[in-house]
Amino acid sequence: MLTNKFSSDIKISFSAAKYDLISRFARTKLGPFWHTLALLLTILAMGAIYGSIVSNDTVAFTSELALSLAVWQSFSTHVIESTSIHRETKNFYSVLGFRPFLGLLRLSMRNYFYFLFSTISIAITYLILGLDFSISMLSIFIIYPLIVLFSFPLFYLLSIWSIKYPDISMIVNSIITLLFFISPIVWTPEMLPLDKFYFIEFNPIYYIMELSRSTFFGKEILIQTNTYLVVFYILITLVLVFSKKDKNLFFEL
Amino acid sequence: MISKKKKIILEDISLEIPRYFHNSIFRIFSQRSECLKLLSNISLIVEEGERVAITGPNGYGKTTLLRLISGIVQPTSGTFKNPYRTLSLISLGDGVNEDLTGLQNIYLLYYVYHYGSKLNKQKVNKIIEFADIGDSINHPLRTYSSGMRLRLIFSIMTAEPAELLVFDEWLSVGDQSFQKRVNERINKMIKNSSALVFASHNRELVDKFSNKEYVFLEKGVMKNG
Repeated sequence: MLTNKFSSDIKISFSAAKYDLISRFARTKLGPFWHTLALLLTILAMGAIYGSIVSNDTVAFTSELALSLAVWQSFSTHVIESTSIHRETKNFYSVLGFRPFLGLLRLSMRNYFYFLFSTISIAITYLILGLDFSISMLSIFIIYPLIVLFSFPLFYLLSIWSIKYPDISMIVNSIITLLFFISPIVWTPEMLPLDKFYFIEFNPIYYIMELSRSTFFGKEILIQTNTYLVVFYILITLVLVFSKKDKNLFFEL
Repeated sequence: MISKKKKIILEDISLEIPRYFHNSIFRIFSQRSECLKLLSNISLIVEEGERVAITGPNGYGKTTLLRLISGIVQPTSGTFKNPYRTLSLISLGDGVNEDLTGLQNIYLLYYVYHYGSKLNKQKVNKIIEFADIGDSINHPLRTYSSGMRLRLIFSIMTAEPAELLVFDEWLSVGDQSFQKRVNERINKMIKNSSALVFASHNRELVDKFSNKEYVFLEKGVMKNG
């Protein structure tokens, strides 16, 4: 019975995510490849400008930037959309009842589809720059879903809180913009002066970026990164477990 | 085979929800809200084979009670038990995506309305056949007339049998010939179902289809009729 319900949730989420993509790009010539193209242009433009400002090696900088922007764009969209996903899924809830897992699964699948189209822009960037591909790069297809999986408690809390407190959505938007500039996305941690290191030490985005970079480029994963990640997610999971569950949030959507 | 012991039980059910007021732009830190009681101490039993009508004026809680029986909302207090596989036809068209074609909407909505069931090509063909909207099945839903849209949605919603049927008002879908098919299908579904709960203002329908009636006498308060 439980397996049957889980399988139904997967089917509904998958269909909803697929058709979200189809209806968003309906009647466009490139379809979801517009997403690939937009990211590719950002990578190349930022790579050329910021590469010459912050690094001596523009090619190496752009190759790292491609991965960072793809991961950041998907993750930040996931965080922002988690504050509105239940309102978006309200139509289904009015038939099935409030099922937060269903909405979040829909969001995760939709964003993974977008992420797949983002990875195409990484591949095109590498081709343009004449860089070699390596087998470790494929790890990103597993690492990114793992990052999303470990962040699930965060998405859950944000999605529930934003129903009760609509200000959460505004706060999240502001924080995400701020995080982009204070996280090592356009710059790398090595560029940061030691006395400013606290900016990344307590920044969860730093650990997400480091995890993606380390696996993508086949580098050693720092123990510290894992420790911080584990502590961060245990804390969030604890908040989730002890947070009060509201039975009729449906009425507040 | 369905057990004879199966029955829907609502015991001393109450349902309260918060209602928020729009703040004045100058009242930044105070969110005004009040508690709204939609259902008060409702008790109801639907035994196997019963056809139950819920009647009462608009805004008294009929639809909320049907939503509760369907499992869409949960009671704030009291005991609620519904062991049946339920099909609720409370509002036609929830979940529909106007930008998708009729066929895509079938694949999207089937699993929503028939949670836990499996869809195959044969079932899709039956849904299309019953809706009888021709080539329009491959066109976006926003190009449909309201009648065509309702035909398709009704066809998807009623594609699977259910043990408990929950209707909010009686369905009036499409033109005269289609309405005849709708009635045939509804009658067949009622005949094959274990129980029926419906809300209606139509006295003739209530007398024809129900063998038990509950009446909302005032907002949220119900009495066995």
